[in-house]
Amino acid sequence: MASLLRKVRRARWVKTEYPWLTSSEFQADALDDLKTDKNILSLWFVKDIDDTVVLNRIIAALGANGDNLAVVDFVLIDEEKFIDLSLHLEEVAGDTKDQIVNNLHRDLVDLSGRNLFALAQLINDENNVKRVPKSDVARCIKASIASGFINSTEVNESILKKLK
Amino acid sequence: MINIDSATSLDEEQVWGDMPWKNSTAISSPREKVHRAITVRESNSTKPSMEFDVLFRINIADKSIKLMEILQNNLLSGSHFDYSHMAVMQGVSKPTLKPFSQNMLDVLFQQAKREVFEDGLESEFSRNLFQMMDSYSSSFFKIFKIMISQDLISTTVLAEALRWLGHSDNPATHEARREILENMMFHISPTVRDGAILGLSYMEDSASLPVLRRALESESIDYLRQDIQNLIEDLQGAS
Repeated sequence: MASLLRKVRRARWVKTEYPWLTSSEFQADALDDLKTDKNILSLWFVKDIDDTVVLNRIIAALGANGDNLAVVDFVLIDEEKFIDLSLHLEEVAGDTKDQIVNNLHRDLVDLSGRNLFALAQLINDENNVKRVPKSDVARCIKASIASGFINSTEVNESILKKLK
Repeated sequence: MINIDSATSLDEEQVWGDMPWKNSTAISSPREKVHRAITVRESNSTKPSMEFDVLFRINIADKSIKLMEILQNNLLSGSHFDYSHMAVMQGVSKPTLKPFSQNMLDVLFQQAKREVFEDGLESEFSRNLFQMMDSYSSSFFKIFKIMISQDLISTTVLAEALRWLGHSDNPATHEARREILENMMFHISPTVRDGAILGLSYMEDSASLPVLRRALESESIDYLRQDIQNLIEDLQGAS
């Protein structure tokens, strides 16, 4: 099943702290994870969510793009749901240190406020924010560097230090 | 804003201009070059001014040393920059910092509410937090703890601060940071506990294992229990 991955922050999607939220509602703060620029939202195409090789490579690329080694929280949204909502995806190269991963980047374009809210609702309904612990992110980055997918000279020094 | 790299190798004259310490012996040698500027607020400008929050370093015989530090809090509080508060001459006098106050942290935390944070990415907040933490160390932690105990910091901002307490690699503040992170493992807010778990995971100190084991027993939320369990395994594997 093809899906689209969006990096988020788990704390914005859980409801444990806010008992006034019903199961169909989400925190207003969650919209911080869907910050658009020129009505465009950045996503990553995952052809098969069971393909951990590709998923780990995307995690590595996202993790290696930071200033510090950190967890990667993300959601996967079924591609068909985008079609159902008539959302438009465009293939636009990403900006990570892994060129193949960059080819998996998609722009969700012409995004209206209504559609953005619908997307947030989708993420909330899926209720499946995943966290990749820092140690696993480190393993993914190490693997991508060892395989030559990521050039270590392009990775922030503070991240490299934590990989040792 | 300009970044560190784009502010390299500035001439002394360019940087100091008419600053009051211009003729000081500590910066009088023409061989001395300012080679680093951090978080300068005006691009393409080389002179410190009221609007700058900068940390300049000077390179003498390939050795980088801190020359002076313009205090972030002056900018954060919106007041004019007071040069008398600057730490100036390396080797001549110790930096004289404005006494730390709760107001400085208040301003920092209030401004943080306007930022959108992303894991692993530095922010204006994280940079200012590091600067205050490293500059004021003991008084910073004393006031920070008081503010936490009096519930004066929003849970989201506190959780973000805890993440960065873990990211800091300053050994001088390690124990103080670890103590706060460990205490926050038992905070009433799951968001704060999440930040504390992440902070401890970034700190990578197996000395936290006893506290983590206690936290695992008391944690009622499944995903946080899983995070603590993962962290315990990571730290056990590393020790």
